[in-house]
Amino acid sequence: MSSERRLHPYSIAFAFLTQIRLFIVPGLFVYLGAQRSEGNWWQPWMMLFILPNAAFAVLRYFTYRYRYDDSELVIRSGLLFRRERHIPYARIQNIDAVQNLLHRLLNVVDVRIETGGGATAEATMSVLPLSALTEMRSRVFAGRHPAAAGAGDNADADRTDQAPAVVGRPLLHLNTRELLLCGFIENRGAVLIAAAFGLIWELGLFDRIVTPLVGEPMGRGVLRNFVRGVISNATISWERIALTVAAFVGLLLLIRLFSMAWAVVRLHDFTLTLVDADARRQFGLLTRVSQTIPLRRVQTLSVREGPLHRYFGRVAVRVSTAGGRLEEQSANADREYVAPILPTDTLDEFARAMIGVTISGTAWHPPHPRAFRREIKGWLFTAAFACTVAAFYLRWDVWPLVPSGILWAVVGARQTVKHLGWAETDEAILFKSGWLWRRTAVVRFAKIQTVTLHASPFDRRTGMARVHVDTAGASEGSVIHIPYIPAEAASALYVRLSAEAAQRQFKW
Amino acid sequence: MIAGMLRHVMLDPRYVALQRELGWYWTAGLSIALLAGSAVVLLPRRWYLWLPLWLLATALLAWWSWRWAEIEYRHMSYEVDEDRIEIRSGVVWRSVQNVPRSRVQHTDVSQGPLERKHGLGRLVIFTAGTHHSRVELPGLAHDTALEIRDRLLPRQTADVV
Repeated sequence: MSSERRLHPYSIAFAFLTQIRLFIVPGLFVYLGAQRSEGNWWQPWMMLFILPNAAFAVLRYFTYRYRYDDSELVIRSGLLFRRERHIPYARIQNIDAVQNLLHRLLNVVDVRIETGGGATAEATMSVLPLSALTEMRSRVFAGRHPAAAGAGDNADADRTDQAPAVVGRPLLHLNTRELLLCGFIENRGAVLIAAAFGLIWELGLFDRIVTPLVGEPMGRGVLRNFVRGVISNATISWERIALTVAAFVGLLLLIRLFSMAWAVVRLHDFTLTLVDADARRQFGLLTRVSQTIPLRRVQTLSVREGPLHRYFGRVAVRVSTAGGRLEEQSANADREYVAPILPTDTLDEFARAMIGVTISGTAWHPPHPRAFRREIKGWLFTAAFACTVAAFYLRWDVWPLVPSGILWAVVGARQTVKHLGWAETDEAILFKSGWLWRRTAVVRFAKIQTVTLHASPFDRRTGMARVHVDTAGASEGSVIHIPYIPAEAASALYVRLSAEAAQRQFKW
Repeated sequence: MIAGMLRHVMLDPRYVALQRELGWYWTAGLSIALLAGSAVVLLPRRWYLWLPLWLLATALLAWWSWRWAEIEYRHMSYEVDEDRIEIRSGVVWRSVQNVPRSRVQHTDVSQGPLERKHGLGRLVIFTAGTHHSRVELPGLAHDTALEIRDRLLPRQTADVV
């Protein structure tokens, strides 16, 4: 039984900061209120926010201890409610490390220990010195990953480099150019831009900037006037329209530039390595993340492809795993991307390495021939709804929009049905869907949880059925719903999937 | 829907009585609400018009819940064998659910007050899935539910982690 260890003393500061983050907004209100009124009445209130947090942080530092027993890690914490947690080494799936800028400056690291099952990390240790992380990795994984453990022992304890040299097979490395492309294609941070935009509009800054340029408030009513002008041949102010369009395009460009910068910072030096049966991911410029994904925990592999992806010949690959999504306050989809951007011709090799399934060259089963008739109903309904709403503004001028709505519905339905398909291989079920934004999902038979055969009255009337395949992933992207399957094929698929799933053991 | 469903077992017949009793409570509640609503909104004016209508509505509700219990019963069945448990349900929106035995995480047998009165129980199967993490099989005799639960207990002793 080894000696007990504590967290790094800096953990007091970090815990304090984390708690403070929760109180920023109310604190801001108090401060703003204090600006208006007089006196120092607000100071006691600030004390109320700050003192308990400081006390909590100090307490936690003094009461949190851990030690390495023969076969398990023991963590003791708590003052009033004492807790002793035993985590057997054999149950620890991976030890992940996150370092943001402050962590890196101070040479400490935020450690998350994940075991099989469950949606959150089993234990979060914030913060540990870097040497403690290396020690933990070597002690826990000794005997399981001899290569990594050997490299870990050789690693210099003072190295600020997160990853000891691992004997592994590099699967993917994204240089800055790829990341810029990724940021351009995806639209990261769009929500932030939209929020900032809304804020500026609210505060009236937008009008203040633009009105001196144009001479009148613009933006509102432009689209309406344009449509009216086209239909009724009234005079159109081309200048105003050009200006609005230019502003809009400028905004889009700004969003893209922001997204590109975001991608470069967030995913800097993205590396995916295969070590034994694990995939190790490292990325980040300011916040450095080092994460391990045991391959057998991969439930569903999803390949996403938007129009821009296709133009540049790339795809984005995401996996959903069972248990253990890194929980951060800014929970973001970055954490699930196993390949934020990948050239399409390397997709097969990548998928084979990750889950042993080849995607291209599969024989896709198309949907039922009458699927188009059913699909278009939804589209027509949406088009009718949109035209009805437009009619409130445009009155009788809405009639020219109706044929374009119908055309949109027909094209949309036809393309959607054309790109639907499912396939079975010896080891997995595949499903592709989507027209502009396409998605191909792959689930190995061993990862199937339940299989359900559904038939709505519309399905039964047209001789179709749907098959739902459920997996242990935690998100929506981890289940497969296959619609518009001819009834006999659906039954056969249901029976086959159930049999295959029953024959294979499910291992976390 | 599928050929293999010939081996399915129907639920306990007392389930119909249970659903009918539940239906009575629903009908009573709904019709009282309807009466109160009409009385308040329409006031005693023209009571000769909406009172018969309300009576008709209540009668229809009662008859419908009576019939529906039996129709629903006929469309529910299940099968438990060594590989999996399969549950068929649904009258208008039909479905057949399959849970392989190895995917059963744990099971629950629960009894509400009405179920206790009729001697029935409900088997709830928990899986690791996202949408179907809970699969319910109501309308089983309490002893049968316990027996199925015991049969579904995992046989392997090795830790699957």
